[in-house]
Amino acid sequence: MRIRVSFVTLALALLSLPLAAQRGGRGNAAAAPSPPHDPHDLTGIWNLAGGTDLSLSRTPPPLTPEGQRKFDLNKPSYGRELGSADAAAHPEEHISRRRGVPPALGNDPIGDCNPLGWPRLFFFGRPVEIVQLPDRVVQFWEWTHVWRTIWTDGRQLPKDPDPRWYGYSVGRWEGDTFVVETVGVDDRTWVNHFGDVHSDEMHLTERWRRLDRDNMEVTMVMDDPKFYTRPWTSEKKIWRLQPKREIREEFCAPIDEQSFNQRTRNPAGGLNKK
Amino acid sequence: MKTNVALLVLFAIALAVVSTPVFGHHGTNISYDHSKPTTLKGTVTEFVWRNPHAQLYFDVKDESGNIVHWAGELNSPGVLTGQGWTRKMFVPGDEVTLSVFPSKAGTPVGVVDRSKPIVSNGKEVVPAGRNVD
Repeated sequence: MRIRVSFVTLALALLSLPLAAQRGGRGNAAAAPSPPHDPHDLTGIWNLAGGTDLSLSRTPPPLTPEGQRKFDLNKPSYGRELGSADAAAHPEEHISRRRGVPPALGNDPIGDCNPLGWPRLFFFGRPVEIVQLPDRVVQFWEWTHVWRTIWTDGRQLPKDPDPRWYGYSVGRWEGDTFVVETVGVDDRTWVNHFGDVHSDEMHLTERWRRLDRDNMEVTMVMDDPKFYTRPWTSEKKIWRLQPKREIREEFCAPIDEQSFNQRTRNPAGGLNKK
Repeated sequence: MKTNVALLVLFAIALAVVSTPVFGHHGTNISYDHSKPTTLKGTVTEFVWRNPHAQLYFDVKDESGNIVHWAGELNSPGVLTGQGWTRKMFVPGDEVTLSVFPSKAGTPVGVVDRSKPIVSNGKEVVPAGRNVD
């Protein structure tokens, strides 16, 4: 009996390991009093909590015919493999999660080190360093080494913006929530790894709120009537403060990507067999 | 006896959860067959410590004595650094033993199976861990 109990305890302990890791070891955060922090100061290095779904939510809203045409052109390499038994076993999932192909046979813009765009970078799983200045908030994103400027000087969003990889953003405080609006994102970028789409008319609203010193909650609403029949509201996404982390230099350099593709990615997918 | 079987099953489930493979950044996972972990012994020809993913190239002798040039895909150097790896961990000429999940296409390319240790020149340089992003 004693042996049985210890085996069960061990098994349960092992089962709980990944969960503890996903919580960043902060399982008791809710119970412990939070150290003091300024809710209007988002400064610091933050990382998306482990186990977070890498999109606004698992099921996008229905597409318009124009959105559907664009969606059907994308061949992502994330999610379940297209045509596999695994994909067939999950008919309840949105098709974006059941149409993966090997990267060598897909057309993910990431495969040539093109910019991820916004909001895809948010879901990439690498940290961001936030710096606040009197007239703007700057986000330095580790993966691909890009920064995003969010103007807080009261300026309006441009009416007819030129497309940019990360769009044009303005922010304001509503109570303790930092509200960011973004327009003008180049429509060649994907919303996430799963090849979900947005049009050049996407208007994205993010709400960043520091729950306590170490945890930040972010929600977003993607309003894109050209491609979707209703706005796409995200789940709550939690970001954790990373006091000991530093932002690394993490370029995705085409010269390295080409070599990787030629020597590893393509033969793995059955192209240019060695 | 029944209890033992039940315990083993529970234990197996626990281990499966701990070692669930989750490869990420370039959708790598889908190219490889995770049901066929394959142990390979070979000689390192090159260790590429660059984004998007580090790569270990090594030569393996097949049953007929022919040299096969294998490519082992790893995670990005940034992630590996966080796990204690260094760019000097492997150099050409190292005799390595490692496990890979081979490509579904049947080519000599695999993603390195991190649930098994990596042995280099008789020394375990990477302990068994988890196949995580």
